[in-house]
Amino acid sequence: MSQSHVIIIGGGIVGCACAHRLAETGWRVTLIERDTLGSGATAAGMGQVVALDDSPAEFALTADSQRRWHALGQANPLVHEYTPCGTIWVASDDEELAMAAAKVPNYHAAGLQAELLDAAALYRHEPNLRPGLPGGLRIAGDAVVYPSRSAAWLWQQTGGTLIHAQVSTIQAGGVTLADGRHLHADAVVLATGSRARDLVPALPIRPKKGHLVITDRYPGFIHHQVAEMGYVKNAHLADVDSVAFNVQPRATGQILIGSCRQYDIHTPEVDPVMLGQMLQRCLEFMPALATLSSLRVWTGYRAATPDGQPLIGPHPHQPGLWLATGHEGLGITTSLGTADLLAALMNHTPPAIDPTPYLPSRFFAPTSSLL
Amino acid sequence: MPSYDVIIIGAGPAGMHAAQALASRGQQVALIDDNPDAGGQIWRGVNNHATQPARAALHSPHITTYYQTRVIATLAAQQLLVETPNDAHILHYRHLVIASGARELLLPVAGWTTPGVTGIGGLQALVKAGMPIANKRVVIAGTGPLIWPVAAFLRTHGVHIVAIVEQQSLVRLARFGMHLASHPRKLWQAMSYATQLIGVPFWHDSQVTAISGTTHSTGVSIQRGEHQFQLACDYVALGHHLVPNLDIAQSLGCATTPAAITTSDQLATTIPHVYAIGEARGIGGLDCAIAEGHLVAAVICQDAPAIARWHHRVQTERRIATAIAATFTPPRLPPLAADTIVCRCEDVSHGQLQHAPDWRTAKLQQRCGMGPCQGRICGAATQHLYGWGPDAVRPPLRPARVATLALLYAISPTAE
Ligand SMILES: Cc1cc2nc3c(=O)[nH]c(=O)nc-3n(C[C@H](O)[C@H](O)[C@H](O)COP(=O)(O)OP(=O)(O)OC[C@H]3O[C@@H](n4cnc5c(N)ncnc54)[C@H](O)[C@@H]3O)c2cc1C
Repeated sequence: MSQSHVIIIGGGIVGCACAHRLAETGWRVTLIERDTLGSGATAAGMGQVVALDDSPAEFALTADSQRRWHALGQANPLVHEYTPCGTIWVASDDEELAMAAAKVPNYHAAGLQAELLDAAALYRHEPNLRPGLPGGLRIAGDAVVYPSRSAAWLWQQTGGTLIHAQVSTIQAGGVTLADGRHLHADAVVLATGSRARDLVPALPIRPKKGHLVITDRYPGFIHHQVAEMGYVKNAHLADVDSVAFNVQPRATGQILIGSCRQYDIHTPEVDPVMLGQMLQRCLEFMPALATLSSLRVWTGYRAATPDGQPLIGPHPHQPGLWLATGHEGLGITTSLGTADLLAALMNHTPPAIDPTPYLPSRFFAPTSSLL
Repeated sequence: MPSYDVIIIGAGPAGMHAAQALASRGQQVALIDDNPDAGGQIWRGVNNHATQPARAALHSPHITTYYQTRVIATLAAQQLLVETPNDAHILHYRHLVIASGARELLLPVAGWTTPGVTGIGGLQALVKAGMPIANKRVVIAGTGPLIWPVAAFLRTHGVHIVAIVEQQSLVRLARFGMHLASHPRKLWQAMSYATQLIGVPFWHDSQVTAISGTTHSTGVSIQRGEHQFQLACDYVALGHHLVPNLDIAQSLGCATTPAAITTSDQLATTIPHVYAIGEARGIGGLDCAIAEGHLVAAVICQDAPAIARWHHRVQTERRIATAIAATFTPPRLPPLAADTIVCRCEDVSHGQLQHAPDWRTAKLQQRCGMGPCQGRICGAATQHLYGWGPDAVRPPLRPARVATLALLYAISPTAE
């Protein structure tokens, strides 16, 4: 029996992870990327692998993915720069500390480590936080990776064909490239991140712009990814521009500083006011950042969906087209879980977690093709 | 917010003369430079009769000097974010003059990351900053007209110059000499260097192929035609021409070529209210920089007779500069070994880079250009070695404190 052939559009972390998993499960894979592997949002992101319990769907996918990263990272720590530094969510008042306390049993129920920190424990872990904070939540299993390299590595394991080109249209049984070539396949996977609507305009995806700053090397300045508890409230749900304190120790000793979110801005330029607001917020939580030397600022786009969950599964109206996009600010983390889910759906094998919350069909009216 | 009629970026000969000429016409001027003093990379701290009067004039009440100050970002509504050693400011201008000069093109060669190896301008700067160098043995190698004044400078500081190693042929150097001969002032300058360098061994058609030493440079290997030979030394100064500093202009959106900021013959860039003078307008040397400093002041103040006079002078100087530049062929590199480091901030070797398809891939996969030099050194090298294009310029234009960038929250995005 000849091997089924899948074309994957988009060589970000999600496309590369899907290619990797599909190749592992017997598909012949072709990857089409217009830029270089692991560019796009994958190059722009922070690379935090984070288990978030803000909704059951988000928790299921991030927890599953966190475990997969742990296995991948431990096996090959140098390639992925896998650093199991954990996350500390900082509570800024007693109400947030109570929220943090309430999360602990959730994580434990999912088999993940979680530890409530009082003020003394918080400052023992992260002495550079501003004084007067009540405590926080430490998720020890979270990690940091270097996503661009992980993406290229995942792809290299497949032995597939990489085509450096832009896809201009998708049709039944294949794709057409900008240079006019037609490519045929049994299945097509759309993994173009925030650009998904270029090829499938009806998808409910909006770009959410973010800025990040990287500093020179300050080993030991922080030891965990450190973010404010309000991050999720400020960042994921709000439909307006927002900033949140979120800093990360890179394997190199550099500090990555975020984060901010702006809707429907399509220019990649640094927005000075937004950058300034983001850094002011970070200085409120960590005044010692003030004198660190920042080397670069960049921007990137998250692919946001209306309910905050990604689109993973068949396009309800285009047979043979599969979606793996809409990962918002969690696509580095959830790429591995996404790849496993998508492959299970395409192979008709049992998935590791319930795929229902991520199925694209939730945004489409039932077909009326029988009329 | 401090506001100025004219902000001049760069206090080298071009910027100093522009400041002086503008102040003498009553303009309020801010003069910004990264260095601790005016004078520019080459002439700072050197007693030079051509630049001395302009330097003295910087004490004018019309001129505010910002030394040790870096431009971090160009902002909307004619504002700049600048950082001083202890502070940061947002400055407003009516006219902006870019006199940002040039920096050395530093190209990799085996052993170039050994301590004791610098650029020729870099070594000169270290000596000006007080590094003891008397009686040290120095090899100066590379190509370009900058080699001579720096060699003469080092010699006056008691350096034992082991050799000057120039990749150009004698024929080309003779042509260079002939160009100078037709301009008496420049010939005189060259002769004075030549007298200061009497007795220094000079190797033309020659190239440094490797630098030896582990904790410090101890010698160089030189290739001349078929012949290889070694010289012992304490320091190696490499110079491969200059590259203009274009990042501020690019950040403003001005058109540039790899060799210069694009300007009209009245020094206007393609962005309103922004002018470029001196080396940033194309490598042209001291006299050209001075003339352009005067011309830009005349243009900004709409002083027609002065415009006519200085315009003529600038045209002449630029013609000479072009002719001189043409006598020097672009720098050549000996074949690099795979383990030669190209990006010294991130320790990326030629072997890791030579098969990368483009700079973006090299950056993402190898981190080439991602260190504290912000790709300023290896960017020029990878362009030369692999033909990779430069990136879009983004703030911070120089490494900046987090607190400096945080100031941006309060800027006005539009003109007042
Ligand atoms: C500032 C910021 C911080 C972030 N921090 C984190 C974090 O800490 N942790 C985390 O888990 N996630 C984080 N994310 C989110 C994460 O980066 C993304 O969710 C993830 O990278 C998405 O990967 P992707 O493969 O779907 O998209 P991308 O990486 O954007 O890849 C899509 C690829 O498709 C290619 N492409 C597009 N159109 C075409 C076409 N027509 N033809 C051919 N190729 C095409 C593009 O060139 C691109 O390479 C962050 C995002 C941002 C912006």
